[in-house]
Amino acid sequence: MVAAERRYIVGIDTGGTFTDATLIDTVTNEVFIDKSPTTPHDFSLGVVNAIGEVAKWVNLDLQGLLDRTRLVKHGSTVATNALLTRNGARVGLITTAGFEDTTLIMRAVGRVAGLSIEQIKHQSTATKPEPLVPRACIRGVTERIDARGDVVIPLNEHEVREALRTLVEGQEIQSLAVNLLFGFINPSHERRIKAIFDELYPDRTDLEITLSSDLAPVFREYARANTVIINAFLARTVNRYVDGLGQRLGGSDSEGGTQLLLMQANGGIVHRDEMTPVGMLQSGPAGGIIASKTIADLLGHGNVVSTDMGGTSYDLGLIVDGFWSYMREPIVERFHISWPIINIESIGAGGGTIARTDHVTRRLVVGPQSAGASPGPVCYGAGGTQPTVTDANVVLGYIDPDYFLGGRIKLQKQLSEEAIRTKIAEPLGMSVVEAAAGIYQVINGHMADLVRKSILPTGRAPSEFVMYAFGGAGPIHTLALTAATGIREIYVFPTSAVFSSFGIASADVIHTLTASQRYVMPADPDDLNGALQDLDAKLIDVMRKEGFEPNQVQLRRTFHMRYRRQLNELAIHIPAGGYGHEAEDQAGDVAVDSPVRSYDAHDVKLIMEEFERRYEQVYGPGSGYSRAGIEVISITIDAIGPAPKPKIAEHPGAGLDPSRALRGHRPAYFGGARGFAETAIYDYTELRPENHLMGPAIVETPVTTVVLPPGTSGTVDRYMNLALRLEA
Amino acid sequence: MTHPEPIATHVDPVIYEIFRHRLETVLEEGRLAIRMVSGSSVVIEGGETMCALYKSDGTPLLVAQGILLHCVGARDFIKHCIEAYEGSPGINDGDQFFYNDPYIGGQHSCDQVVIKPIFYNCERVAWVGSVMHTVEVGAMEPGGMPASATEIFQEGIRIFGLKIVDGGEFRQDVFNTITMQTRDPHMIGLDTKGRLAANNIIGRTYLELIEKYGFDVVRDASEKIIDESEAQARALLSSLPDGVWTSRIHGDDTSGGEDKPYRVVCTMTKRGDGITFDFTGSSPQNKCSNNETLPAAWGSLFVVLASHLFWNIHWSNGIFAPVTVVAPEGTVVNCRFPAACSNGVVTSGMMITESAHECIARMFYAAGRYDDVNAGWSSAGGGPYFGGINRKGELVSNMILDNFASGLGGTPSRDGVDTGAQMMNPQSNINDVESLEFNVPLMLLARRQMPDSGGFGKRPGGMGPESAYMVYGIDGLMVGSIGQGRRAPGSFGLFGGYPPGLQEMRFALGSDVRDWFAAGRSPRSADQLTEINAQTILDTPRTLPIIPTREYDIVIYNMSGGGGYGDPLERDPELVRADLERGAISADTASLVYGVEADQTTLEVDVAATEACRAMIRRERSDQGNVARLHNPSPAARTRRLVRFHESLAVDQKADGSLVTICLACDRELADARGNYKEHVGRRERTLSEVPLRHLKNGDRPWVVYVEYACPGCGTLLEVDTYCPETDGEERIIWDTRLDLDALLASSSREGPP
Repeated sequence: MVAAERRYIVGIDTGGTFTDATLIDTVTNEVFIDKSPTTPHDFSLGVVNAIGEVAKWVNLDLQGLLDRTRLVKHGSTVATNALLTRNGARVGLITTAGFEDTTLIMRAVGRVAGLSIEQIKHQSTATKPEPLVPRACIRGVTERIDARGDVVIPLNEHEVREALRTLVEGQEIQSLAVNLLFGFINPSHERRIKAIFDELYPDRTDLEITLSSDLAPVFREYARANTVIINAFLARTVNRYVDGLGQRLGGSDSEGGTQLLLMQANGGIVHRDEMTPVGMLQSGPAGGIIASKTIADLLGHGNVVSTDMGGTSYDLGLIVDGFWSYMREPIVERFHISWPIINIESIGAGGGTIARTDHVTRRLVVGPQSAGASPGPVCYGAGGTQPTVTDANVVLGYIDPDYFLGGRIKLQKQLSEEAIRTKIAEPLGMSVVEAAAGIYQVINGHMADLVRKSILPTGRAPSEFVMYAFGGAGPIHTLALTAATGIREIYVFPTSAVFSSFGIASADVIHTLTASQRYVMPADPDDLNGALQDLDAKLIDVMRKEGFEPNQVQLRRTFHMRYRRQLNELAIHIPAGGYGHEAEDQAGDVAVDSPVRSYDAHDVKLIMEEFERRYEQVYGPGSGYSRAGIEVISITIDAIGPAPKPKIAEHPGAGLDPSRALRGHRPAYFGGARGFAETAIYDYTELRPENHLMGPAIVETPVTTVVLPPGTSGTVDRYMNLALRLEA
Repeated sequence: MTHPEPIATHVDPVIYEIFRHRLETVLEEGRLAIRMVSGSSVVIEGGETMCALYKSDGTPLLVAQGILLHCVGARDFIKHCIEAYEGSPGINDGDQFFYNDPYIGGQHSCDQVVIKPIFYNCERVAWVGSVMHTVEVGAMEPGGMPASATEIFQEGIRIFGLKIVDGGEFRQDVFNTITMQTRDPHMIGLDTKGRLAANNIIGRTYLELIEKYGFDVVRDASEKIIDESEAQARALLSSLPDGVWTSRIHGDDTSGGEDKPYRVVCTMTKRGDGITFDFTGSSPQNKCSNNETLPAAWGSLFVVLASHLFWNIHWSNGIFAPVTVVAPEGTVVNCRFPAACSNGVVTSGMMITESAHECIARMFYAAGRYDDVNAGWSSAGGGPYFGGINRKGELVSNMILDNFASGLGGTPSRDGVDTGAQMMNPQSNINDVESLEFNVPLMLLARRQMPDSGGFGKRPGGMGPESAYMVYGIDGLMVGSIGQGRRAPGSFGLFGGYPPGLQEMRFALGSDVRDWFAAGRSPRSADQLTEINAQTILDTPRTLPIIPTREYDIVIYNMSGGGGYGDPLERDPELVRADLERGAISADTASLVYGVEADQTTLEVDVAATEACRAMIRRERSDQGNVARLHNPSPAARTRRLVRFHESLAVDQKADGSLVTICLACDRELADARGNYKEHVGRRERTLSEVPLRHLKNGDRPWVVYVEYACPGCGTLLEVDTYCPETDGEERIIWDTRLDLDALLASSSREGPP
């Protein structure tokens, strides 16, 4: 098989119910999608089945497709699942003596980490999770390194030997994590522990040993310990899965073969040899933001609020200046970790979200509980009795009971009406329609509040953002909720399944490295450059293994800065080429042909100014406090290896008039004096680029419904997306 | 029984719901803004900050989730501002006022507040206030809570309302005057700016809402928020049994040249939809600063109301409406000006919280709401504080806040959380060691969970932390400490569980610890400090005025755990073995308190020996000879169970209509249910001097003894109270639960037989 014939890229996303496969033909730019049931007992089976399904679209069998496939890009839940079910290795932990309880104390905050606000407020019931490493498998060794990296107490090697012996032979651990205080500044003691292990157990190559200074050389020992522990805990399960899948996909991925790439929570796709087990956690939700970034690049949007409203939750992620941000203190399951995870916030607001009336206050309460998929909304007729957001949408005429999910489920409108009447309308003394409209508005209010709250810390005006609305329920609500946020422009993707899969299939290779090192500003440029060069070199080395030449790699630098005495940092994006020099890339990323440049004293001054500018942008004019001094606390670098971006199909314009897509009219409720209005219903599959729609209007697709209230309009773009606007 | 005003129903329920959610979100945004900007570890790691909206007269409208102590804080400042400054200098649009006087509001002068009036169409329509604990106030000692102070004038700046922003213009002169009086103007400056920013964010959104919905709608919706909280609070209270509950918590006070015990007594009366907390009987105010002003006492009580009693009700003025507080002036719960009060929040204030907590936990148990029942949480507030000049010539001053990892109480269904929280802060959080050492001239040699620090019980209290701090990277440092709990536990056990352990602090000054380091060793416990050849070993009280230390001096400090729940002898021996394995208890405790005989090396439980040991302990308990035994007719004579009010006790009705308290373990009738059963069961007073943390390292006598009550029939431990001869005199026996049995009879007969 010659490489030239490897024309396909396959994207695979393992979900809770289905495993989705996307096939991109890089020659014709055609995209095909299909799915197969997820197989929890062995996820790789579902993956292979899904590839087999999508192969049929190009008249190939599984092997035939794999022989012609260059890359398989895979988002997997195997790590998340293993952590949730506690199906991992028996891990031993070696740490600084005196601090054996650090991962049990959990900084106290472990009692509430990962809980909802309601659970946190119920103080008498909040408890800590079972620790991943029991006390019996934790050993302290006497040693101490101070905050500058100086050795205060030399490593007690006798204790190291004793600890290793009792853990390896006594506790029969399968994986060893090492996390010493300030090991990230001075890794000598951690490395010596590994050397002693190798000397004591030269044959135990099966026993993985993870050093914090290798895996996550960042400050704050508790989250770092969790990172090392979780990685050690997951390594076997994840590696076994990846190896097994590699086998199923044809074994060899040597030069010219099919390469298996795995999605990581930092939004990157990496070669399986460069994959980190802990990085696979929460990579699923990251897929949505990767897709949004791909689309944003395509459509030329720098600032995007990416939203996804499904059955139970409303998930929101931001792209600012062309890139996503990482969570400040990421939590996986109930543990803080130090690992870049794309920042996504979630609230309980979806089609299945339940509305009720509080019996004491007679308040109309919407969410956060959900009727889920079963029994689901009342109108499903599957036994649900509590009215949901979907029931309200049926009553309001937004959803056609006979054309829900393309007619696959027939909805019973009278059941929705009855439930809303008895549970909401009568207790509150409203009509059924008023009550339904109330549910619609309240849930919109919750989502709008999340949008506003998420934009606030960026220091940017809402009008600088466009909103993307994904998910089955999203386009019904998005125009109505956006009005309260100040965003004027919204995109919905009636073919969003294609767009999402396409986004993942064309995701870039990204490796992220953070180094904690404090620089009191203005720092000596030589110190700064030295540290940056070290990080760059490490990343370039990894990217070389990923198949990228140094000149193909983009480096994106984020400085975590604060005023001295502050304890929280602001993430400031600093161009790798410095400030004040011409020919810089607009977004700040180093273009392929623009070499990374060393910073000089002038750059350092400009970096400080940029921090102060951003600080005041976020916290308001006059909030800056330069007298306190400025410091850099850590530096994060994303190394980005751009993946080929096949062109997505464009369609010719067909003029403003959408009437050929008009399917008819039905009454839909838009409140005020208007009440129910006869509303034009369009068939999305018949719309063409340039077609212009004026609200009130409803566009139906087999997977979702787009509601355009009065005062809004929409245009079909050349990719067949709907670009919606609020009229001023 | 009072009835709430009908809830304003003319507000559109949909607009109301959107409005309310928006307000909650924006308050949270304001609070996050402060936390991002602040330099105080108390704020960042401890979450000690609060934003709230108030009506134009200062009535709290909605409070963001945050530190519970501050819920009432700004209310009193706003009322003062209106009273004192409406005329001159006037309250105008764009003003912001700075306050911190604890006799007006807040807990102590560290609680610095900025309030901002919100104007619409030239009319003042609301206030917003941001409260934050600040760790420097220019007091006689660094850290803001000087242990030596005996009057308020030694406790740093007292600001009675200064316009820090005047008509929208930031007043640099005022800002400088406030910040430059402190040892750390930069940090105070950052904190102050954080408060200004939060107020601006919240005020702006409130005006946007008025513009969107109109002033009348916003005003009515605001009223409805308050009315709703009140209706919910009253509905909750109505669903709970009526009665009177009493708790007595002991503390130790060691500053101002005194060394004495004191107490807080709380008598809680719940009738219908109202509740009264009466602190009569609490000790006269302390000479030093371990006192609460009246506003501070409200704040400390609110901690337990917001986190336990009314946890799922929105925090607005409405939840205060059904609550009455009685706090006699001149006592530790309502000190008289000019008493010092900066440490009340971590001493008498925590005793207010825990004494009310005990009453509420017992009431919840009688209501059958077992999920809401916790034994006492640690009242180990405070911690070491320090100040000095570093080698760059800069002033450094800060506090260690490991107290936020104190242990929590056992519950009917599970053990207490180890190193969990402090009740005042639902999202309690402590520093990473690395984060701490980046910022302060200390090196930690250990931070661990302290064995035996939790109260013993069927469900033991969680462990508290113990830390060893070494002065490092600085030539000298003044180190002091605030808090209490060395000679009295400060919290309670429940239904036969023990109160938590005691807290100690030990200094090793001028030692050869560096020789230890060179040899690859380091001292990690208080006992090891005696081995490092120190010139001076000091066992000090918790409230300790600063003492000078040098580099490499060490201080070891432990925070107490939570209270135990239920008789320790009912703990599964295998769980006791697990406790031994994970170092939660010592071998002595396993055998003396839990009656478990385990092999010293394998820890295997000797089942027969354990049975025998437990039987012996039960016999000892039941055979106290002080029991005036009730005649004990056959159980068949009892017709129905009226209420189970205790893990091991219930009230039954007999065929003749009389009510008796019975032991659920052996079905024995103990006493007439209309009296205090404690008068009729085995009682003994004892210290557990064999058990670590129940005696003091230097031999000092704890102020309290345990008073153990046990069933004379089966020896089940029913209650472990503390008794302090110096404060309690002849009041040996507490009547902790006096249910209104007639009301229960009336309501149960209405509902028919169970």
